[in-house]
Amino acid sequence: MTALLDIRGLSRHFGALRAVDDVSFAVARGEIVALIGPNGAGKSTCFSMLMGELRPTGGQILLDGQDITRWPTRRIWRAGVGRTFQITATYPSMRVVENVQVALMSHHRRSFALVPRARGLYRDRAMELLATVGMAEQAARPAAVLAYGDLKRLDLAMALAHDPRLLLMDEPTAGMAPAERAALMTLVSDIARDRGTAILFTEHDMDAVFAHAERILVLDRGRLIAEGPPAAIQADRSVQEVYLGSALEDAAPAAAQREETP
Amino acid sequence: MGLILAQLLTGLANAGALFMVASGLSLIFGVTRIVNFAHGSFYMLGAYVGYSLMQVLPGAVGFWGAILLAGLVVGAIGALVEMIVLRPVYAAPELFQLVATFGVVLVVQDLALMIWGPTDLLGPRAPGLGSVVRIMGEPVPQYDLALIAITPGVALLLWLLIARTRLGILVRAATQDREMVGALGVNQRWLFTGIFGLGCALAGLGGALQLPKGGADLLMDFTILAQVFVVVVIGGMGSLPGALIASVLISVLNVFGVTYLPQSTLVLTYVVMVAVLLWRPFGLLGREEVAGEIGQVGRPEAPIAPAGGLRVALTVAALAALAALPLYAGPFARVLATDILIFCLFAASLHFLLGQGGLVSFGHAAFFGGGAYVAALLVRYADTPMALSILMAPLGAGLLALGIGAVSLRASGVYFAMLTLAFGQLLWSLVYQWGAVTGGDDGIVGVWPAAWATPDVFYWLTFAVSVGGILVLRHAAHAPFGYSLRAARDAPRRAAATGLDTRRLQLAAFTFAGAMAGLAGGLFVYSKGSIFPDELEIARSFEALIVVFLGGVKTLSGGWVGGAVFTGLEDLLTRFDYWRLALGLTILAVVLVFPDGLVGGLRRLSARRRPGGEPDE
Repeated sequence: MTALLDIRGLSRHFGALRAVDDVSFAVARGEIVALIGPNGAGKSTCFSMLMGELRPTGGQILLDGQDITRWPTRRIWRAGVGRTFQITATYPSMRVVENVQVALMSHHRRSFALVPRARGLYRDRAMELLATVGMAEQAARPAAVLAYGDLKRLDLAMALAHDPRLLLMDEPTAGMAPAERAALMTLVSDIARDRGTAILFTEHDMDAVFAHAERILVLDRGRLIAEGPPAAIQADRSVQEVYLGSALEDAAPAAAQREETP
Repeated sequence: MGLILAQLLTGLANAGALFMVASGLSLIFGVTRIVNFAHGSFYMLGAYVGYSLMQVLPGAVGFWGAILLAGLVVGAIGALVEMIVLRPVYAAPELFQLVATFGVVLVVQDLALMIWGPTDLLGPRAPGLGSVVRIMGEPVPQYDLALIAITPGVALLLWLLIARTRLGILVRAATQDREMVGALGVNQRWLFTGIFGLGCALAGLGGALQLPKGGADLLMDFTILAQVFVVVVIGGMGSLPGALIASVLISVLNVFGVTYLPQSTLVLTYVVMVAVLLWRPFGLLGREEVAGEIGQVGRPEAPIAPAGGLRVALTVAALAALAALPLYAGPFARVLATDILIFCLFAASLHFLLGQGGLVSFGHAAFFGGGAYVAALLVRYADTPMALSILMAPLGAGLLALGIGAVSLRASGVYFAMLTLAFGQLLWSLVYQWGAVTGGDDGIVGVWPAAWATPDVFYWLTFAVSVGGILVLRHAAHAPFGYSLRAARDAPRRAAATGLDTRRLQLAAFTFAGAMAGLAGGLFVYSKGSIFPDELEIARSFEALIVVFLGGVKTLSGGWVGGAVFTGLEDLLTRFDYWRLALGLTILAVVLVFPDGLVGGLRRLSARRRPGGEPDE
């Protein structure tokens, strides 16, 4: 069976800078994969290319065996890929529930409809999605007044509107309080399990990465330097060098120290 | 050969004043992001002030001294205007400052009329430079040669100022990233005032310098403004070298155009502008606009909701009263109401584009006038009956908008606005200069309503179509289309990442708004019985824009409310002598008191009165 997402030799160069350099990996159905690396490693560039927002300079992206490398964002979305943003992207001029309704209207191909009023369209489904992310009580508030953590959850509800096969999450917990982070990551894991959605996420919070990722990819200066299950990544010497021990020690000090003293 | 050289020199001489005005506009835009509609007014002031000074100051020293002084005086006036009028509205929503500068345009027009009178003033000759030199047998005015010598000097001084001084560093820094400059502790207020003053001084200098060639008159503000916009857009907003290159290009093109293609000089200018922008959407030397820089700034509007029972009842009552107008009011009120209704539809169509789509168009009159001309041409050449030609007006305007929008939407923000301006002016120049078909300046007359449409019936037709059109626009905002359009405006990346085709949504909105403006134009031509190129012109586009901002962009009813208030006010004020002054001051007052526009301001007031009322929720 082909992988859900198959990336082959993906590259993006900005002049002499190789933001992403010959990266290959795959994601299976329903799998939760973390893409980590220090700032500037190329994680966000990778995401932008996967979502069709940025043209790769080289390489191929296959979704379920189909080449989607040069597709526009909206077509990739229709093929079943959703994403959340590092800096939340919601519609501040609308109510919370309307934010989700707009995504549902797009899913049902009614974005250009002029006859019906939008308020009642797909409202029930939108409320279900909001309930999933725990935002149902805030449905009628303007999105402009939400707290940051709530915006992140609304962003997630919008990304789930078309029941994606693959969900890309760019730093899902950035800017959230620790308790909120754990709750959100548990929610994401549940979604992956219940719906069979594959999840590829980037994250700086190593607790979240090691608690929820089934497999971890490590990027450094545009190159994929390690790949494997959490335990193997913790033990990987090149990864430790990249992080100078700091982040990994936070997450699993014992494991890191064992490696340090031969 | 000699003739060509002489013309080249004339072109270069004309480029001088144009460059000074354009570089001022460009500087101001680069640093403050204000598109200064009043820039032509400062140029006009420079000419008048220079003229008066030359009357008192004697000799060559007096002449050149007067020019310099005129620049200084106008610069000081500019700085004053910035402090009084613009400072309070920097935090206002996108491009709202336009409205303030438009108010200044009106005020300056009437002040100039008061002080210098309505007759055109002939500029004095420059002492010692009054005759001509023969170059290869062709006469070239000495003053032209002086201008050719002066312009590079001014350009060099400006370059030194920008490249070598601390102020220049601040200007360049602010052009790149204003927020950062503010964060680094630079006093932005005085930087903005200084740059605005400097830009206006350059405009004044340009106005005074061209006195011996063109004199001073009351129309020169808009004449130069259209040209300067062309120059700044071709050169790239914010780029001084770009302004220099484009001034020379346009001036030389004009001179040769007058000689070899006298019927299409204007068309030529705008064709060049459109061509350059298609090739380089940010002008020859402009930089790409950072996303969101011009788009939505300030607080987002409150979420919309369909009107409740009370408001619907009130609206129905008001509409009934308006529909019954012919039964209780005279022909004068009927004519005024017709004007207002048509203009309200026009304003509402632009308001839809701006408010829902976040697309600021500087050329919306192209579709209003376009629709009117479609109807008028159909009558003139095909004897089309009224009902059919009013139907064809939105169709023609919609097609036009589809074409113009498809090209203009390649750019965004202020460059999109400039492209729409270029196309609008192109259409205007085509209509103006293609006299054989369009009647040119004489317009098309004798387009009267059909026999069955008595004045009262025509009024009811206008009422039904205008109100219907406004309701359709309003409904569109509540439909999925309106929501998707706002989504594309609020967060384009999120919209695309949920499957929305943002470009197509915006094109559909542009076409829709264009068609609605065309519908208003179709009604307009029958209400007046005639159509002239003025209806397509830049001034008409700006008027609509001002009205929409005055009404309030971030409210659903801002468009038609602004249209009704503006037309009513205009009708009231034009009975007085200095009505532009009064209108301009009124606009400035509204700008300063209600930075959210009339509807937004009223809403805020009523929210404040209610205890605990939150305007945001």
